[in-house]
Amino acid sequence: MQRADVVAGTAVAALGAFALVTAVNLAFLSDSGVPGPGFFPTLLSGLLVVLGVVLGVTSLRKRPATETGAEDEAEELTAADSPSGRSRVLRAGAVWVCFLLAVPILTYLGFVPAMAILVALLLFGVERRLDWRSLVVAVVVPVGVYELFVHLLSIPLPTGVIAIGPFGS
Amino acid sequence: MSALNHLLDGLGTALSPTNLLWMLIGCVLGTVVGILPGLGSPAATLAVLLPLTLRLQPTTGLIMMAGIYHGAKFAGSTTAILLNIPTETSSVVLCYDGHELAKKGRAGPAMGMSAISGFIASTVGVIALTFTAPAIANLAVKFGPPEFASLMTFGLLLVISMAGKSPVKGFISMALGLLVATVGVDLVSGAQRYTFGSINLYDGVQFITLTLGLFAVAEVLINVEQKRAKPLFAVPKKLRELLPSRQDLRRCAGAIGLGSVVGFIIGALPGGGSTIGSFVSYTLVKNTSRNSDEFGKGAIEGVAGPEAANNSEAGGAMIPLLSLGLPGNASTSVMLAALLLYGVQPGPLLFTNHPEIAWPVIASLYLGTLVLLVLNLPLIPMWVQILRIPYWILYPTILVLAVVGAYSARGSLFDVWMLVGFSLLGYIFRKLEIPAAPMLMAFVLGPQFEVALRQSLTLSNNSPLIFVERPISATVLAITVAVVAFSTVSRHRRRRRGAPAVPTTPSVAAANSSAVDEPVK
Repeated sequence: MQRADVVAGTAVAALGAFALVTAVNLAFLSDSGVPGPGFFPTLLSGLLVVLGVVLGVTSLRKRPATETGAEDEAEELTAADSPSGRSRVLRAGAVWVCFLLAVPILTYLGFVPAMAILVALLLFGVERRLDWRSLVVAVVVPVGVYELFVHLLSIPLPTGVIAIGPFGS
Repeated sequence: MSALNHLLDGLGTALSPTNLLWMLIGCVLGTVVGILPGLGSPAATLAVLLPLTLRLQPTTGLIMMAGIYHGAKFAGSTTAILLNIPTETSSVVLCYDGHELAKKGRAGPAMGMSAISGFIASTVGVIALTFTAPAIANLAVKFGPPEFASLMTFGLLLVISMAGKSPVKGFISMALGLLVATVGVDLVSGAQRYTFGSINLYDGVQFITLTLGLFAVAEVLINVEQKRAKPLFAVPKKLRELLPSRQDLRRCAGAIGLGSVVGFIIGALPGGGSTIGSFVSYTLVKNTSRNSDEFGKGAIEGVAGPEAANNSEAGGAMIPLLSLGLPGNASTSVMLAALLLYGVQPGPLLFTNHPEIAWPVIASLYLGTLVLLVLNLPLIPMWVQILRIPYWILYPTILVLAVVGAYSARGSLFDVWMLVGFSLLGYIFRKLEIPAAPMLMAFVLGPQFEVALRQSLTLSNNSPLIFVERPISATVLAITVAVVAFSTVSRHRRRRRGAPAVPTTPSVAAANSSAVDEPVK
């Protein structure tokens, strides 16, 4: 995973640089000369830049050493670039996108409908389980969780802009 | 010997049928509520159930709270082991080996060991508390900002040295955690930091949002990479395999002893101590173990050591709470709130003015672990059944509960967005083999660390020498250097043993990536 580490190092350094630019606007020392609000963020974002560079450079250096071993390269291929590796990331990505989509639905429709849609998307879309059991899970899990939290423990859950039916309050 | 007499009196009070009954109820309620995400941390569980306890007599109410506290703590280790969801920072360590054990079909022994080592350690903790409270309270008073800053440096560097393979990646994770902790309004100056003008970020990032994203949801994303026909976890059918074996106990004896002592000493220091205890214990147990290679892949000592520290710390944490009125962690803060609601002012005078409250509470904290052992050990087979649920039902449920946890922390949909973001970050971390624990730990200690650092430098007119000029602080830093050096040397030695020629041989790389990427089926 050397290449990934180079990318990661660059990303960390970039993030650190961004944080540093923001931190510089905060007072490093306050008016009375003691460490101010910018003190800690400046040190930390500086540290992130350094660490990102260190990670990137050390991974770049490691590359020629590992390229001599053919086995190692095969190892790397299966890890990230092979078709199976890509399909695995795609599957995880699909689940994450469903999770992401659930949030705006949650905002508008409220907890039970949004979570039912999330579970249904996962089971019918990602898992391709096209049977009645998936439907039962998609209904029972959100309703059960809702009843448990809202009615038994009196902990409010999002109701949504458009409140629907018995779960709207 | 008067302390011992008081303790025995306290035990007598705590053992009255009414008190015992409420403690049992508290323990069951604590376990049941504590297993729900968002309420998982003992502090949140205590807070939710606080109104219930306030209807009782002060002593009974506080005893019930001790029951709830232990129940919730056990629930926390249960979710960490079974579902890789740590509910508080001290159970983060359990995910390393506890969850790996669960994947190997040894969830039961891991949970049993957690309860057993917790019981032994709190025995040690309570005995130590009884005899050393005045002495330790004295030492604790000498802890000023520089000492705290050094102590937290110790804790943070330990997590990195523990997280292992690449110290640079551990450092990155830690720095990121500290930076995320600065988000919000600076408490000293009132300046906004990294809020980008959004009012939702004034309070900073919520612990539960970060944990659920970084651990629970990221774990789900790693697990769903492959479509699974077979269940993810193996659950043995025989009852005997669900409890720790005699051999497990023998293996863990040293770890439990070490964890108990370390946990108590660190727990007794006001502030920050509770979180550090379990991490320090894990590192020490790992570095002194003959099987240190197994750590992170399912070593049962990796459960026993931190859990022991975690529980003897509860005894230790009562010292600053009861003697100084300083809560050491979120849970003792809620306890402090309860004491104040009862009209009891904790502090040096508590033991003289209200011995009828102080000692039964200490006694009941101890009895709490016994109740836990009696009540929850037989229930472990039941909890393990959670793992029998097919993963296609389990993971959507975890996602739904994660949404509940993130939202209910403060009723904000913004936090649900953050959860989605952190879960992606957690997944990327896993893919890049960046450990997530240092980030979480740094996030928790961050605000206190920053304040301690700034106060220290204010005291010394910005001279960093203050950290080595004060004896206690210098001692802590010296121990830090020694432990880090020790673990670096032992890592090198291990690597040399495992890989004679090239530093990163394919076998090591393969073992590492399989440990991180592919859950054992």
